[in-house]
Amino acid sequence: MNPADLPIPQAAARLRDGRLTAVALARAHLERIAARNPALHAFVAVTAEPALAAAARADAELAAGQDRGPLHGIPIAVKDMIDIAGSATACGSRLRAGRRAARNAEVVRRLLRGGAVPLGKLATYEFALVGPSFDQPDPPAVNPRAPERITGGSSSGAAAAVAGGLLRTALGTDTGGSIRAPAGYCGVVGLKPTFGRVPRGGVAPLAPGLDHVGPISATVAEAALTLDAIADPGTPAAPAAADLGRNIDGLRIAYARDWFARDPALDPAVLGAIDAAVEILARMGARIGTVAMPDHDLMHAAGAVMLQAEALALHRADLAASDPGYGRAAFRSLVSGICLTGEDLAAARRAGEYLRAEIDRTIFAFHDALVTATTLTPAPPLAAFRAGRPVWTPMRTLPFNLTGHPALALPAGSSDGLPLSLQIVGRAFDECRICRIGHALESALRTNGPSV
Amino acid sequence: MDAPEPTEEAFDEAARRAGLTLAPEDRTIALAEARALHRAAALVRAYVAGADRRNPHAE
Repeated sequence: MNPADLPIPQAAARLRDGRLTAVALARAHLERIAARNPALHAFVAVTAEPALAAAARADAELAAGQDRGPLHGIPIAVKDMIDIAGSATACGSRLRAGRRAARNAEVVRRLLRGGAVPLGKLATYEFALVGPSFDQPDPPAVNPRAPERITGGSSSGAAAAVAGGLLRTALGTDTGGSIRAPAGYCGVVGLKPTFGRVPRGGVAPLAPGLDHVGPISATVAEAALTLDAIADPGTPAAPAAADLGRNIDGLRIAYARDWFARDPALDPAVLGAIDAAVEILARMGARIGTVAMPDHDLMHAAGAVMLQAEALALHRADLAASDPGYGRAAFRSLVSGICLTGEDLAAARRAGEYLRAEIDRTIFAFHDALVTATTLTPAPPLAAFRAGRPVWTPMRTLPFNLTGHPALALPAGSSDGLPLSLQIVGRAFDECRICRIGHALESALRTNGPSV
Repeated sequence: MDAPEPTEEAFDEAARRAGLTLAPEDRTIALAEARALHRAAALVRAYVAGADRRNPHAE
């Protein structure tokens, strides 16, 4: 097997028993990137020399008995919204092209402290807003599972890189679904952690009240290990990977079926796939209860108002420049918020507090986790986006940015060969339990990451 | 729905105050999205008003 295809725990075992070196592993990934990235456009920058130097250090440390943990010697890359010292953070925009970061983002600092080997920067929709766009410096990332379909975004490069076998794990950001939607469209795993569990210093903001940093990975276990490497150790929560492999017998799982099943935009295959997955969870011993979520349109509305108002506030000065340099789609999206008021934003934030409390009181007081859809269709055709006009992509992601609950997206079935996805949502700071459930379901579905 | 949707004139005035010059197609698309956001904001304000009445002691 090519080392680039080894799941992280297997690669880690070989790094420690001498069957593999971090340098050989990094080279395998760099060769894979050289071969496939010209077609996938997942990486916008590859930092081969620093990566090989970091891999050599990782090997030397292991040889000397210094073990930094599960990601020691493991290649990774980060979305181009996240600073790596000395590399440009362009945020997918001409506006920021070539702007080099002086310092590492806190999440990058933690990855390095854990011995991970950064290979470069990954494509993003412009400022993590909207896309795919065709008027920016780099072409859109390509969905390895269906090149004529979009990857989804805004963590487009991370999903494409993992689905295309360039990486086993990567970091993305998620303000309205930007980790989970591309993971869903590309057939990989995305984990949006609890709001506040992962530090955001050195990460370009989109909407600070909704922004999250988290992993896109080949499997649930690899996502959990990645989250544990970047999460705040000060929280009382258990590590995300602590209960992987534990059975789910007796867990109480809420199924928010009506929350997506009645949406006219739903692809029926999504409902069939999630019904089947819930049946599998029940056969594994979980106790399933159907629940009613708060109104989705209301939750989406509050999230959308927050997102557009906060994003506009951050970009207002640049937008007013004579030649701001934004792509058309991002420019139009930002400008759309100019009639929102401070009272609108305050109401949206207050709605988020009420809705979080309502879900905690009516669902998580009685259930350990909640299952629902991620995206309501497979990845839409890329051609629909070429005209530059907004295209609606129905999903159930933004509400959990609003409430801050952790949400894990993982592959569940397919429609005409295109990947579908479900979400497992948990109580605040209970990533451990949703990863336990996701890992069990993934094992039952016999998936072991994307076939490459 | 306690406030009318932004008229073209109101949208243009907001853009002018923000120092923005909009090409016609940008204006058409952004105005449509601004109206959708206005409806969203009205829905949210109505919900919060009701929730505040039901929870008079909420901070």
